[in-house]
Amino acid sequence: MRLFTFFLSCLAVFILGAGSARSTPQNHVSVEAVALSTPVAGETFPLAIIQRMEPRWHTYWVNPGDSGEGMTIDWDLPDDVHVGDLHYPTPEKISYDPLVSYGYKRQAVFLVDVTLGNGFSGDIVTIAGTASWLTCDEICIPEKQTFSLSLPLAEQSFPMNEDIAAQWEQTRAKPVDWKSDISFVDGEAILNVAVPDDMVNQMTDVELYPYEWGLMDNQATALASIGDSSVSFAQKAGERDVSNLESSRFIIKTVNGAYEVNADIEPAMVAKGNGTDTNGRNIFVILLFAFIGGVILNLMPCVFPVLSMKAISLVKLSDKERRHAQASGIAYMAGIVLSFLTIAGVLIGLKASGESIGWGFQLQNPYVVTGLATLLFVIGLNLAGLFEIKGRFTSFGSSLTKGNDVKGSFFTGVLATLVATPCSAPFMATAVGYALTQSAFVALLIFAFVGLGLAFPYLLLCFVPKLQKILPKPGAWMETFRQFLAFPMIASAIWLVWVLDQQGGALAVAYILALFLAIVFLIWLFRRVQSRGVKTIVTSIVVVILALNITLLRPVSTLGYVTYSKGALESLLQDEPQKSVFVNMTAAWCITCLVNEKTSLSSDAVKEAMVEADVVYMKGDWTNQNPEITAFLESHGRNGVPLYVFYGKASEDGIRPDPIVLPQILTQDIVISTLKGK
Amino acid sequence: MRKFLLSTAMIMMMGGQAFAAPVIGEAAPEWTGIDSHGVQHSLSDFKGKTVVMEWTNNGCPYVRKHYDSGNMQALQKEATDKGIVWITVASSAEGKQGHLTPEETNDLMAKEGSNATARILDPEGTIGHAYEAKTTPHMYVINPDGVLVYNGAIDDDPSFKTDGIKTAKNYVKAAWKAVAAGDSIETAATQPYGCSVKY
Repeated sequence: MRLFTFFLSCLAVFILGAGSARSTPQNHVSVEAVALSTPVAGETFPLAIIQRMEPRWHTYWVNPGDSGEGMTIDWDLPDDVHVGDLHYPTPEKISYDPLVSYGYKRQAVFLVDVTLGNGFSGDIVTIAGTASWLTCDEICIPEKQTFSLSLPLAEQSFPMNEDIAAQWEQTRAKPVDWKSDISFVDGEAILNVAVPDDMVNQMTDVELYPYEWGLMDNQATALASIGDSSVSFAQKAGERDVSNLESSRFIIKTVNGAYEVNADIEPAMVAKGNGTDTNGRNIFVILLFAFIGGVILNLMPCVFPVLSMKAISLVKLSDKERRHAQASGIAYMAGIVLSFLTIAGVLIGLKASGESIGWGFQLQNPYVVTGLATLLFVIGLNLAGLFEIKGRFTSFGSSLTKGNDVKGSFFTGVLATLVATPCSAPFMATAVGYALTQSAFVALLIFAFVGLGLAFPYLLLCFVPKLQKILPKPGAWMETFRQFLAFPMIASAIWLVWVLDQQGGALAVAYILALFLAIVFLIWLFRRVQSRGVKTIVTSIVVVILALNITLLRPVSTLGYVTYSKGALESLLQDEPQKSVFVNMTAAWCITCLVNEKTSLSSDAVKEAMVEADVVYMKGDWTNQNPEITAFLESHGRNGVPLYVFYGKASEDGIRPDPIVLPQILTQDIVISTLKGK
Repeated sequence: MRKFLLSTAMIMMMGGQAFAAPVIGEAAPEWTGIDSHGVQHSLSDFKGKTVVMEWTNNGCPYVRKHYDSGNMQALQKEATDKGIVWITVASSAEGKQGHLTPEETNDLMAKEGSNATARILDPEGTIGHAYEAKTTPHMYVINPDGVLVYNGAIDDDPSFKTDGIKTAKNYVKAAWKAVAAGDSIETAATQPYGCSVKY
């Protein structure tokens, strides 16, 4: 009965609505008004205004950017019917070098709330109006169009035009209450947003859209740096004097969706545009803090062992060897400072070429994370005494009198910087984020001072012999201490494995643990087996296996899905006969499931096929107990996952073909041919 | 090593120097251009006089709004009667909307009844880029000392509809009045509105 009423009202809308929205033929953009649910007396319902643009033509957001103008609507409404504000969808940047506008191409869905007051009487409500907008290709044309939509009132509110509603949901900016403020420092606008922890990972690649004009340079891109409790986005400031503006709303557009925050404009920092850059005292203070920060880095669990081993090597020195110690200290410092400058140079270079990155960008790459975790793990094994490195790269505890020690110390410095990066990322994000808003010279200076700070304690030991006397006398404690230092090192490696889990998922973690196992195995092999041939063959096999599977580290880009529930599946099958449904029953502990998802379900070819065949992808997670999923499995004669079931589109008489159960091991071809109904 | 130092030095230079953008309260960028009669003008020629600069494109609906209603011509007349220099600049590139030959420009000015001191043809966009002109119209006011005092829209009605012209608050007029009275300018920067400049 419910469905029948719904059907009747749809039919009525179709008949009444047909031909009433007339577009002027020479316009490049047409508008259409559609209701997103049936109007009910005394209630509010959402009305969508759709702009459809000819190819190449675009329209504008409420803040049009460098040029343009948004849409306005003059409403023509019956008595006691009211509309709210026009809500705009998230815009995109439209560039006509050197100018950038904020607007829309192809199709944009706007939303207003329509309220039927108690004073409105009648069975049909007619919403009419005239929309005016500016549209531009190379040239700009103001256009307008009248529209009118008649809707029969319903007893109850039913959703209508769900594809349009879905587009609105997808393109709207979701209002969130993340505490935000914006400040202006040396020509940069810095937007600080308290992003919830589980959202932080999405914030590295964003576009910012301020509702107020002139806050940010429209052409510039935002550079995100992740801090402890907030994310800051730096973008070249705009030309506006913000002293009499209290706040501005912003859209933060991520790859997965857009969020709207309201940022307070920091009154203390508004002193901008007075022409003077960071003055001398300021920069002195900043460099001092960079230096102190570097000193503190020595205490980080990944750096402390390296420093300690360098320090212990000094204990064994005789007075004659002091000269070597000083040379070694300088080489160590040079290694650290040059490594910091290299990383900073790469960072600044990438930023100058328009990449949106911040400190810790190295850790966004799962291969780099794996490399660093492995390095920390191997150093840990070395400290624990499982093996000795006979090379010049590490002179932990080795005598300083060796001829190549200067080189060795230099590379220890490089190593110290390398192992310091994972620990310093959360610690230094804010400071480095600030450094990157400065000129390149100041930024490099700040990085150099962090490096100097890191090198300072060891340098001090090398140059002030009295301090060396404070160190305990050599003895058996040294070996014990050295072995103990393995634990913070391996703890740091564990932390990186956790990071890798966030990036690549369970399979990436399995891969890196297998890698660790292989390393320990090879160390054992080299210590216990004499035959060179056996060593070579076994090592080659292990390396080949690891190399062939290295793509397991790659981040999974998951397909958008609907969560399974019995009700959701039934209503999809019943109410949307034109759509087919692909059900995937999976669990985190099911390796077959994960492999299938990685190799076939999340491949680009399958994604395309899903979009093309208009498939709803539904996923049920059986990681924890779930009686509905268990029942679904049983209904297909199974008692475990994976289970893949495909429901084809209904034919013209409204009947769906029998569901197809796919094999437990999938390939891209199997999935695609099933989706295409072959 | 040498390579590394070299690239570091290059990055430093990139970061240190940017093109001088027009800043309120600082010297306006100097320019030299040829007008529709083939006469060369420079900003420094007008030292001691207030200068209004107007970016135009005769095909843009926002420019049409101000010319077809006679609003722009009236403003030009009021300014030039007070001894203010009014420079109209067309930065449309060749082949783009608003690009006119000197003859076409003179015909247009006669037809529209323009009261501008001169109309500079800037098809390379040199002056437009120096001033970061974004829209047509985009207005600048420079005081007799050559200091930029206003940058932005012509008035507070950012619309192509003509209904608001009579009641809109004109920022350019307010700026030259403040300059003449020796007052500080209340609204020195606004968001320019209109079509993008067709560089």
